[in-house]
Amino acid sequence: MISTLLSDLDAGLPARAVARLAVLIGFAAMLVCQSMVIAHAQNAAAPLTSSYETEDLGDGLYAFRAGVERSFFLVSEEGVVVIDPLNVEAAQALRAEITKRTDQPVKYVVYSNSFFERSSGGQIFKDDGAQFIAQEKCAENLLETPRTDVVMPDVTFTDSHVIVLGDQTLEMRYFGPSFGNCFTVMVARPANVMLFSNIVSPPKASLPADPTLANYSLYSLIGFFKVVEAFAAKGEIETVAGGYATIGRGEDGNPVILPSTGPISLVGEQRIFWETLLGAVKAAYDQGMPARVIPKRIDMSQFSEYAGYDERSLQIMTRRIYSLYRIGR
Amino acid sequence: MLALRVRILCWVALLAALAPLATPTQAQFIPGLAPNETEDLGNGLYAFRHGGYRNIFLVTDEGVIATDPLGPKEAEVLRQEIAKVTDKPVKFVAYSHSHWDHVSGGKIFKDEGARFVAQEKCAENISETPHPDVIPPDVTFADNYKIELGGRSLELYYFGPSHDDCMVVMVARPANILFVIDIGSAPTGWFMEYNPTMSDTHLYNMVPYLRAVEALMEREGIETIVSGHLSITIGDDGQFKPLASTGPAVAIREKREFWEMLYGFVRQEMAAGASVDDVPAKVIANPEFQDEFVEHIRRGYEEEEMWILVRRVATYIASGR
Repeated sequence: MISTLLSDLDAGLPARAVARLAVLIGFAAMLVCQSMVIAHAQNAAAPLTSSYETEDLGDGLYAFRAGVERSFFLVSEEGVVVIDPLNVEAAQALRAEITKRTDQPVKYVVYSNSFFERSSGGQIFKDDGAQFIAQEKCAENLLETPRTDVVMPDVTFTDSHVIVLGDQTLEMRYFGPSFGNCFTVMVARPANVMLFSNIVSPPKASLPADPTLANYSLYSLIGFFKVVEAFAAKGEIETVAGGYATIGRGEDGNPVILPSTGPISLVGEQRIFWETLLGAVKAAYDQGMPARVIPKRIDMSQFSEYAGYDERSLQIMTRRIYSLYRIGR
Repeated sequence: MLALRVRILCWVALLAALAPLATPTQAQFIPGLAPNETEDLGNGLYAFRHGGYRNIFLVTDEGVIATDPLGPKEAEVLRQEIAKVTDKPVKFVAYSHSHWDHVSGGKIFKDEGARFVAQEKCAENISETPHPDVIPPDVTFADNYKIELGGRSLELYYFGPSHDDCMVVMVARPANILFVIDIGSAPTGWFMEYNPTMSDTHLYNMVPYLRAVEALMEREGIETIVSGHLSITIGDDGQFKPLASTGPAVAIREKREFWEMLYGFVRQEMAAGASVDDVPAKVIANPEFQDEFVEHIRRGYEEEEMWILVRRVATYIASGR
């Protein structure tokens, strides 16, 4: 619906105005959603999440959703940049969506991390001649655990990499281990939107989708968020877009997929969630409370408005977090 | 009913969890269990247990090779136990991996001049997440390392990431016993994992790692393992009872089979279209899983614990990590 609306608007308005409207519409949708019961995508709405959808975020930036995962692409007059091909089927649908909007080729495919559900399926773009770019530890991971449908990066970087293509720029920044050891935050310009493929899932702050917190680098997570917040403030970035779809339910009970964007303050809200949860587990640990007792003693109800709030999930998370204080990781 | 006597609790786990509460709680948990004990495994090799944790030390005419100090208080007790056996100094301390609960407390040995040995990634981890009670290693190595002293030796073997990314197994000579920590335990591989979220565990390499340990034992004719944690069983009288520190080499193969089978059941459900969130309930409801996997588990099985473990494995199958 949002994509259709923006598409209609796009016909009569300059790009920047459309971009602002896109953000406004996204925020308006957020406000509406405050009256909704919000759940994580995987818990509901199978018919919705089995579909593909493209959302115009303005200024040449698009979000493409396949199931619960979203990739992004940037369209310029000199070519296209794809962020995460997701998987073979999704990449085919993604290319079809790109073709609807431009006849320019995909020049670059970038990986936000090395996990297969984000990095698979790039061969279709490789065959078109795209160059693949990833943080160097992503390349190491993919070399260590290769998969036939994952294209190896051609170019790697340590801390940052900038792609300039026509009027579009994509800045890739690595701020240390967070979600995996190569998770990369990106900023698309001129849209000036920060892209998070995971761990921040607009339009609301949320609980992690995986209660086992597999692959979270808990020891460096808070520091990571703080650095990202400072980086966003310095760049006057106001909007964040997420690679993981959040589902809301309307008052009629029907599931709706919420827009991919939200205010940059979500990064801080997500940090506060982690600081509170980690702090609560540490306090219990410091009191000598056993690992299997702590889950029942943690009260996180102040985050009950966060998407995906679920007490059982939180209890499982505390088991994982206990280890941070016991073993250091 | 599955006889209680064959139900082996990997309450390794629970004891590890209780460790911060120290002796009184453990004493209540297992009446009569000493807070610590030292066991002579022969050929100069000793196993030292403190609470639910265990290390080994090797005594020679020229000094002692110690392993994981386990914590400042634990290391003090260990030092006293070593002194009961020999008046020789501790010359080396070998780390099994980098987790604080095993490698803390080495200062007492550092002060007497011991050199600390660890796999090179352990050194990186300790540097990245330092702890005031953890002594950084003096000597690091990539694949394997042999500490030789007074005609005896402790060999350290690294086979890639497993439980953290620098875990080694150790072989004490001439005892020819393998010391294994956290990734396997005597007497069997068929118990539930202590923490089913599998904190800092690299599931993608568990099977190759354990296979490499099996090959090492086969090649070197090693028939006995000694485990880094205390295992407990429930006796016919319903009381918890400690199990022996050592067990047969086959426990490693069993643990490898545990992972292979578990991964297989998860892959099967995901190939059939189950989402990562739906997989745990589907796997647990699968009668084949109950018959072929759960039946093997000689205690420690709780459905909620298995749900968490399967959910963790589902992420591995989906993401590769």
